[in-house]
Amino acid sequence: MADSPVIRARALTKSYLVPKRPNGAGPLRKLWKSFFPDLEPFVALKGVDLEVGPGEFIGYIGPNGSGKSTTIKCLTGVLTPTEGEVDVLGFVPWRDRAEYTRQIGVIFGQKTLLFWDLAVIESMLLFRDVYAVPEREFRRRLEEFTELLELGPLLDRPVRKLSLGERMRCEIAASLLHSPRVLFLDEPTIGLDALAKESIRAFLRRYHEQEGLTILLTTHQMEDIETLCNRVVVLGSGEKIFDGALAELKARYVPTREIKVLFSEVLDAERLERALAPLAVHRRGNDALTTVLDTRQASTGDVVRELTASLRIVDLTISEPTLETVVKYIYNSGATPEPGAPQGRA
Amino acid sequence: MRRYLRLVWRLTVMSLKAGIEYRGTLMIMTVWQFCFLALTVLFWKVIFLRTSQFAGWTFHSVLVLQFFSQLFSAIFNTFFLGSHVLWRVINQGKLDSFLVRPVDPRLLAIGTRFNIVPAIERLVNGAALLGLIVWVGAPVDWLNFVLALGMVTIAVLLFSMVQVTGNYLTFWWGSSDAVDEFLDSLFPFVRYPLTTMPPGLQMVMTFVVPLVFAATMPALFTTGAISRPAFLAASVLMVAVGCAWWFLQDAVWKRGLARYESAGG
Ligand SMILES: Nc1ncnc2c1ncn2[C@@H]1O[C@H](COP(=O)(O)OP(=O)(O)O)[C@@H](O)[C@H]1O
Ligand SMILES: [Mg+2]
Repeated sequence: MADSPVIRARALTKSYLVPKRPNGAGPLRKLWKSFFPDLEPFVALKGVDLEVGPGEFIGYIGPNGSGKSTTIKCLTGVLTPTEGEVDVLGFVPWRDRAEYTRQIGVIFGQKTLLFWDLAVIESMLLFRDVYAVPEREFRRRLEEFTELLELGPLLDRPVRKLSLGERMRCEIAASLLHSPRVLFLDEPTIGLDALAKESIRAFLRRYHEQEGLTILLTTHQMEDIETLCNRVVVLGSGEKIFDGALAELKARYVPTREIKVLFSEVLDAERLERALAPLAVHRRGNDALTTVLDTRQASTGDVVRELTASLRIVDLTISEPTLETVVKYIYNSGATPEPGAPQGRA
Repeated sequence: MRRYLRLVWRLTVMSLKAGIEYRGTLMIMTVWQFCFLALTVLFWKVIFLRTSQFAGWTFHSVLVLQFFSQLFSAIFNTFFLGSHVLWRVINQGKLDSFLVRPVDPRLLAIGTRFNIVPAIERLVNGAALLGLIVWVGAPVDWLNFVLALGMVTIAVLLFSMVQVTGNYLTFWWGSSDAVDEFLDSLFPFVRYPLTTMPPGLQMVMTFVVPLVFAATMPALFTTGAISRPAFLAASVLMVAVGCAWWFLQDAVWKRGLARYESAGG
C-alpha cells in the first residue's frame, strides 16, 4: 500500500481549440470569421506519463509554454484532458470534484485565490467553511501558520494592500488549512525577491518534512529545486524529456561548470592562451576571466591544477549552471550552454 | 445541507464587510434610486389622471407592482448579481479557483459576488412604497401579499437560471456578453404591468424569460385581481418552468465545463 502511487497520469493529452487564421479570404468572409472562427486543436500536452509516490516532492520544470500549468490544471480537475487517464488518490479529478478537492491544496502563483477587497482573515474563514474544517482544528492550524509564515500583521489587512511576498505567504497558509494530502504549487515563487523566496522555501521544506504530504511544484528557480525536491521532471513542448534525480539530470545533460578566475597580475595574452588551451573562454579582462568547462573533455580538478600551476590566482569560483541553463540545454540538446549573465566586460 | 447554509451565511457576512468599504457610494446610490422611483410613480400618476383603468390595472395596483419590482431587484442584485457577470469569470479563467474547492463552483461564483449594497439602497424605496400603498388605501389582501412574496423569491431564482445559462455559452463562444446584455436589457420589464403587453410577448415572459412571476403576477394577486386558484395554477406553472430551466441549466453547465479551457498561469 505504502508505495502505490498518489498521482498517476497515463498518456495525458490536452489540446486547446485555437482560431485558425483566415487566409486568402475576402473582407466579408474575414469579418464573418472574426465572429465565427474555424477552430483547430493546439496540442499543449502530448501524452505525458507521470507517477508520483507518497511523500515525494517533485520539481516540475520546463521552458515557458511547455505545458506545466496545463498539467497542473488537468491533475487538479480544472481541465478535462482530451485523452489519457488521471488518477490522484484514487479519484478522477474532473469527475469526482467534490470528494477529490477536499484532499488537495492548490496554488496558482499568477492568480490569487484570496479575496481582493477583504481582510486576509475573511478568506481564511471562508475556506474554513468551504472545507468544513472544525473550529478548533482551524484555530490550531491558523496559529501554527501565523507563527511559521509570520502572518500576524497581515491577517487584518485587505489582500490588495499586501506585497506579492506577503500575499504568497497568505496563499500558502490558506491552501493548507484543510490539511491536504497532495499539494500542487504552480510557480509559487514567481516574481518574489530573494528573501521572500527563501522564507517560502524554508516553510515548504519544514512542512513537507513534518507532514510527509506529496507535493508537485513548478518553478524556474534552481534553488527551489535544490532545497526542496527529491525528483525532477522536465517538460519540453508538452513532452516529458527527463524524469529522475536532480544530480542525475545535471550529470547527464549538463556536464559543464562555470569557472571564474581572478589573477594577481596582469597577464599577457600569449601566456593565458597556453594555460587555458582546453577551455572555451567566454569573457576575459586583463586580470580576470570566466569560462565554461565541458567535464567530458577534462575534469574540473585537472583544469584547476593546471591553472594554479601556471598562473598566480587570487580567487577562483566554480559553479553549476542555473536551472534556466539546464533546461535550455536539454531543450536544444547538444549545444554548450552559455555562462551566466554577463557582469560587465572589462 | 448545514454546511451549505453555513457557507451562504459566511458569504453574506463577507459581503456586509465589503459593503462597508463603499459607504460613500451607498448614500449617493440610495438617493438616486429613490429619485428614480419617485419619477416612475409620478409617471403612472399622470397616466391614471386621464384614465382610471388601464387594461385591468389601477394606480393602486401599479403601486403594489412597483413594490414587488423593487423587492425583485433588491434580491436579484444582492444575491444573484454573480449570475449576470459569470461569463467574465469563465472567460478570464477565474473559475479555476472555484473548481478546486469541494463546493459547487456555481455557488462560489455567485456567492462570492453577494453584495449587500443594492438591498440597502432599496430599503428606503420599499418602505416608502409600503407607506404610500397604505396611505392611499390600496386594496391589499395581506395574506395574499405574503404568498406573493414567496413567488417573487422563486422568480428571482428563475431569472438567475436563465442568466447563468446564457452566460455558460462562454464555454463555446469564448464570451457571451451579447447574450448577457440582452438578458440584462429585459430586466426593466419587471417594472411594467406585463398583462398589458401583446400575447406573444407575454408567452415569452412566462416560459422563456419568466419575468411575469417577478412582479406582475404577485401584484395582481395581492390586489385581488386574480383569484387564489388562479394564483395556485400560476405557481405550479412557475415551478414547472423552474424545473425545466434547472435541468437545462445543469446540462449546459456540465457540457460547458468539459470544454473549459481556463486562461493564464
Ligand atoms: N486557455 C488556453 N487556450 C489556448 N492555448 C493555451 C491555453 N492555455 C495554455 N495554452 C497554450 O498551451 C501551451 C502550454 O501552456 P502552459 O501549460 O500554460 O505552459 P507553462 O505553464 O509550462 O508555461 C502554451 O503554448 C500556451 O500558449
Ligand atoms: Mg505556467
